[in-house]
Amino acid sequence: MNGVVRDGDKFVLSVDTRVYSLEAVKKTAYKFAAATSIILQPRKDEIVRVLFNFAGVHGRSDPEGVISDFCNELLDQDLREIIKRETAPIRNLILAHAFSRSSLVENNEV
Amino acid sequence: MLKLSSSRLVSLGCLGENGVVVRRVSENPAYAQVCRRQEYFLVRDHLSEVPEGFAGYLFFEKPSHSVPAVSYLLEPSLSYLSNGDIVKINASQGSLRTLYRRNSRHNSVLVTERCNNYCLMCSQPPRDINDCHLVDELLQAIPLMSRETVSVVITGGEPTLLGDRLLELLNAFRCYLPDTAVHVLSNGRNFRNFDYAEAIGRVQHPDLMIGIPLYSDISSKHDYVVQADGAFDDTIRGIINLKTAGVKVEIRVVLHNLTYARLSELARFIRRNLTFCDHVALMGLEITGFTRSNLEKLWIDPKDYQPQLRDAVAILDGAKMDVSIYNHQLCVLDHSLHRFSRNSISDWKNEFIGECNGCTRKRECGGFFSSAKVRYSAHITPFHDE
Amino acid sequence: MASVFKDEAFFLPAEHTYSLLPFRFIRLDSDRYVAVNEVGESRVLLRHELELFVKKRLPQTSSLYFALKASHFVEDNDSDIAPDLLTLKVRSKRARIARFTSLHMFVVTLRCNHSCRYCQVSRQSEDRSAYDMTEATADKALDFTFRSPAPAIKIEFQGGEPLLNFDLIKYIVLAAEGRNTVEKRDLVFVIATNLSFLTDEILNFCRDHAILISTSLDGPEDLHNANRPKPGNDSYQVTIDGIRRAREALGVDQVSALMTTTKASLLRVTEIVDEYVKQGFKGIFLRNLSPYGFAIKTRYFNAYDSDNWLNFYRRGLDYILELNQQGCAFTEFYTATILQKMLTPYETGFVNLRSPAGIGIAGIIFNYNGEVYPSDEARMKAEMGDKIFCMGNLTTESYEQMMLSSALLTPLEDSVAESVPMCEECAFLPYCGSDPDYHYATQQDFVGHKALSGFCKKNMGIFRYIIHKLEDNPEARQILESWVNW
Repeated sequence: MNGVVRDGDKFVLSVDTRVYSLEAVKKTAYKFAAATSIILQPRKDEIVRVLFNFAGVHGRSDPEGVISDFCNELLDQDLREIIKRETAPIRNLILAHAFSRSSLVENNEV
Repeated sequence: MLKLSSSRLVSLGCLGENGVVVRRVSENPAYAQVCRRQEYFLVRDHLSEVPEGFAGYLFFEKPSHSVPAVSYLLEPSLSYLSNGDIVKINASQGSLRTLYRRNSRHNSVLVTERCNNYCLMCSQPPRDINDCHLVDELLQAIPLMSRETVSVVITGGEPTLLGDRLLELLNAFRCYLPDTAVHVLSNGRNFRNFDYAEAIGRVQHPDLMIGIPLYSDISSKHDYVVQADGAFDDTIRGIINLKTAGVKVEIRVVLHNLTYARLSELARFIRRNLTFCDHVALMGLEITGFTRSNLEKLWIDPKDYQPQLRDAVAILDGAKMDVSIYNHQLCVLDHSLHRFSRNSISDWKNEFIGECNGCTRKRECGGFFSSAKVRYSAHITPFHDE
Repeated sequence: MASVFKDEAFFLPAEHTYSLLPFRFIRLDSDRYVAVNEVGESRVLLRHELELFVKKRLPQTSSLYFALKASHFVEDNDSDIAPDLLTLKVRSKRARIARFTSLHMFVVTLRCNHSCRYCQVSRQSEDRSAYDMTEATADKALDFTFRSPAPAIKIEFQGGEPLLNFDLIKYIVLAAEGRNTVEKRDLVFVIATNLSFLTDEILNFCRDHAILISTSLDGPEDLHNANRPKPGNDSYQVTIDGIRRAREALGVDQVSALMTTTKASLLRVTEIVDEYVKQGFKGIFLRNLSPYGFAIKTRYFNAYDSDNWLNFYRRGLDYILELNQQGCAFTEFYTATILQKMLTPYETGFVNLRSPAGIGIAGIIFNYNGEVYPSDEARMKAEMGDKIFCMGNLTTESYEQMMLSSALLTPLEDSVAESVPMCEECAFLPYCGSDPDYHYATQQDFVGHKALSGFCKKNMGIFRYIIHKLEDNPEARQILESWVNW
């Protein structure tokens, strides 16, 4: 698998944080807590190393599958960041308006 | 189709009442003297003498004897006139308009021909004229209407273009006809101004509903049907404002070639966003006015949109919303939808065609708009119930 | 001559661009994703369609674009009504929160004649003074109850076996009705009972005061009796007889049943459903496995049991849909609850699937000894030795002290789904809820790590399954839509 280095039960995926934000990597890693054990390590040149440890009986037993899913989830996190960036202001506006006592619709003069 | 306007009124007597008069019609020769002074007597049979004391007399035949001072000859097509009806007469113009019919189930009053939409299927094409006399006449007619009138429809044009005068009208209905349901047909756009919606609410009419058309869940498609940019937004704002002000709202959808395809989506949109509305009316197309100019764009045989109609009704009815289907012949309507069908074509407009001969359900059905002779479903078949 | 009427093209948005409105998305299956907006309106689409959409390359005349526009995932310069409608819809969804606590459970006694395997609370005892609620406590509990602003109040009698303290039930019903002549709430009473002690006097009282009966029916006789031992080992027969008598006295709609799912139930869902159909019930609530009463071997206990439970649910739902197709109208109530969140503008009343959690602010429980807990699960935890959720005692603390106690506020605030990891970005957020009870019981944390949570796994499995049915199976869709309680 490209970009992945294997050492027995341990796999290392190198992610360039100029492409995927560190936040996205962390959120993705969090989601995989049941599948495997993950540790993040910084390297130089804005690369972060994602260390997967499949030793131990719990979690999933298909390392390639897990890493593939991890990469897909990372792509999804990236998309979520785009949506969040664009929609956070209008979302805050809608929620603020919804929870306020103000009139429901802008009072537009004829 | 009943003729409500006539320009062939002939003055028979030596006096004509000046200007425009609004009068109630009586057929009672023994009518109390004190009452008859305000009313016009409708002369049916050939009488040697007409009962004295009425404000005026309406004849269908020119009598041989002398006539009272205020007397008019009506053309034969006005023979439907009867006791309790209200007419507006302009003697100098020789015109008569029937404003109200006591026996009608569907009294509708036109309050203006001006409009701020330009719907492709408009049955009353807008005219940008000063017609405020319509409201003046109506205000005179309302106190003369029977207290037993079940309902009245206020229509146009766009009634909200009357501004405060609409409030005046609604208040008059509230005062003089407190037991009569009033239904205002409006595109709702001027209710985007919350103050106006609130003012309607403040009239506190006991049984008022505003009927507002919505033709799509997509703004551009609705705007296209009503030929006005921004209409969708205004209309939805208007609906919300009216409901906020405590006024009942009915959503109306005219079913034709440009509205049937997304009918289910529109039903879901209404169910999700406008759940609070009081009624949904799904209406058949009336082939008059602008519809004729746009017929090829608009025509679809009602039989062909039954699947969409079934689905839309299921969506709304399933959510316990009130739904009705109007202006469809029973034989083209899916059997499962018959219970939603209301016989509602105004009785001055409805007729049957040759294919209907022998049908046992004419009374429930309601038939066609008179204008339907231009185009109607290829699937008209009479019922032969035992 | 040019027509005065304009073409459709004239009314399309002037600029070929659009703005996104708030939404979340998640993988649905191997090919598809589902996007869900702030109020639970959803759209299934392919991953590449999602990407096109987010990156502003979705054609604005495509049917997908129209669907997304009508459901307020996107707006363009043709219309600016979307934020107003979304605001209205958010308000509708959130309206229940302000109506506040509706369900008030009164534990009138802990005494019981059953020793159900999964029960943590009952006592095999004759000692009334030790385990019965007193009238003084009941009065204070009623004071507390009517402090809630809720327009509809449900008083539910629990235990132990509540009918063992029927005198107190009478007392509470009469006192509540008395207060209600002034309060004018929509007041409903329910007794959750195993029906062993049903007398005519009790049934008459229930009929006179429109009291509903809720009983336990775990499935066919052998399963039910194995779960719910009692002297004579005839719990099933007693239940069936009791149901019949209660129906005859009160009416068919006034008697309902709940099942508790144990490991033994997991392979027998069709039999359990058949039992409910045979007994004339209109539906069943396929409840999840309780985390209480089982030795928790490892932290992965949840995942294993969740898979088995999901199989139980899926088989059960499929079977119930089949019954419906064969002319037997029967509802699965948990599915109906979720469908209400998916398809209507409203939020469910079900206290266990809400965010903020329903603890205290939707439902509350008064224990026999005056202690107040924000949920039945919290009470069970206390009976097992951990009183972390105890809000106080009716005899010593006031309404304000208890409702503002950290025992209630901390789990409530900590667990709000909109602000916890994974939930905050989860597409299923509008359908789901917070469950601080469950996460505390299984992970000793009010929030829990959702990747390790049986609650999360279970609910995600259900949501995906329901969405599949709605999307891919028109016949199932029609049946499911008919279950929604509008």
